[in-house]
Amino acid sequence: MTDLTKEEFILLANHAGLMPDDKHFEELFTDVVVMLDRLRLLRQVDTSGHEPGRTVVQYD
Amino acid sequence: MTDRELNQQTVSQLARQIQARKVSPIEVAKAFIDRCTHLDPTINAFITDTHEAAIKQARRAEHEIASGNYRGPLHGIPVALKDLFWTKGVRTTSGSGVTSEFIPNESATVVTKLENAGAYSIGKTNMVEYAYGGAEHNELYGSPLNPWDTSRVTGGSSSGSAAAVAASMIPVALGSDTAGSVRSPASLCGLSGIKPTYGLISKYGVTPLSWSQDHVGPIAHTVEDLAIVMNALAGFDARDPSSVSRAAIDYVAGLDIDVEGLKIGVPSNHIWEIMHPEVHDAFWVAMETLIEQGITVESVDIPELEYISAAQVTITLAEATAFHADMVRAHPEKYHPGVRRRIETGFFLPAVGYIDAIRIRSLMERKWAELFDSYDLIATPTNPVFAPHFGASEIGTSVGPITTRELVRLTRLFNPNGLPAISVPGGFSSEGMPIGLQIAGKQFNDDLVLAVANRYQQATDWHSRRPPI
Repeated sequence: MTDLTKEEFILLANHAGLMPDDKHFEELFTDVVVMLDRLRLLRQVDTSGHEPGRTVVQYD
Repeated sequence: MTDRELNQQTVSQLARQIQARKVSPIEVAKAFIDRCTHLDPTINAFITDTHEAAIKQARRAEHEIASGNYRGPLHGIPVALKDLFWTKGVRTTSGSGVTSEFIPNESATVVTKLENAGAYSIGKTNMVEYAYGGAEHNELYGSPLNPWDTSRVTGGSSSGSAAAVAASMIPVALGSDTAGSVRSPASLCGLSGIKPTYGLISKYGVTPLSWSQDHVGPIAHTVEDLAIVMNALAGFDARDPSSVSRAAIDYVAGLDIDVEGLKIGVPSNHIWEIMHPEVHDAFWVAMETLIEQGITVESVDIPELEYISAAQVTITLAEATAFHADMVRAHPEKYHPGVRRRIETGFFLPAVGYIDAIRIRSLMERKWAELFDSYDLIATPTNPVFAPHFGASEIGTSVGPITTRELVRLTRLFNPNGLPAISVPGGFSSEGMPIGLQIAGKQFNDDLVLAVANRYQQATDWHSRRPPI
């Protein structure tokens, strides 16, 4: 997931409708890589048997 | 009573005097408005003041009380509202230039409930833009200064709400909390703040950050004042899809719940990896105080904490970007660069990442349930450090510098599953800065969380200290 290249990133950014801006995009790229690393951490968790949950389940 | 003495009062103290007609709501309103007028040019806690309307409402309260129609402990009490609570006819900026001229045509449910209880707002408080951050500078409206040391931040995102209460410009303010935005600024400013169980207090008319993790909560000096506001705000609201229907609880009466024999678990992992030694020491002194109240304190390993933290960030990312997608595409230049980047990062989040995060939320629901079979409450420090200086992107700790984003490292653990969590003053650093103690509980055990925090305040006096301003 963290193998996102700068070229791919720019392509995705344009596709998302973001306005190119050199300095901003450099920082955004860094943040996106950090975010993708975080997803790798989430994938380490064994969530088998768990459906996506709500914040609070109302019992009564 | 002088204006200065009135400013120092808690909600419950003011209420007793208003009810006994020793002090009039007009006197109270004027005392707090005068202090705002005098101090806010320095503290910068407010974006918009509503002083004129407040005087009118205080006058109405005075007439009602004089006529024998006393509504309860918020009648005639001034409040402040974080500027993401919609207020009919009063601009609601959410701390952003994007919505700087937004004037709602209706009020948030919580605002209406406060008014029905007889309270009135004296202004809309400053905040981190769209509540998306824990310590960011607000370039458009400036940043509130920490009344304990004006060279330091208040924490956020309910920065103005905490600054206003700490500076005695208001006795109580409302904030919102998605990762710690009530508890963290309350902690860094020496105040009490609670994030009640998710769904207990309506979010209708509150600009969202993360629908499934946003909570409304009060900030005040004492736990008793938080309970008074909880009594006014808790309750089902059909206009909020996440609102929960429960039998009403009297949170003020619940402050006297017997806490002797309760068992508190203190996580032994994750939270201690980054911690200022003075915060560490203050926390364990606080635990000793709770033990003296007959409460058992034990360390407990909660290995999933690291993952729930990452899940909280991921859920926020997805939901915040969904809310802001059109606005950030249309007006990127109007956002704070850091907030804009956070929102835009969400465009690159794969759907499977969001689903992974909310499956971890499900997993944690079971883990918390298992934990609360053995423990009544969980306690941690509120922040790993005390308030950093403005401009500091890093804060020194025993293990080296950490980024200011880690301020909410310990508070965000309780948002994905909507657990009630409170922060109360738990000591002061050698530099005179407040240190917070966080206590969290099982869903809908808000009364127990409040009761233990209240017992702690009865045994300590940290909450009665005021900054020298």
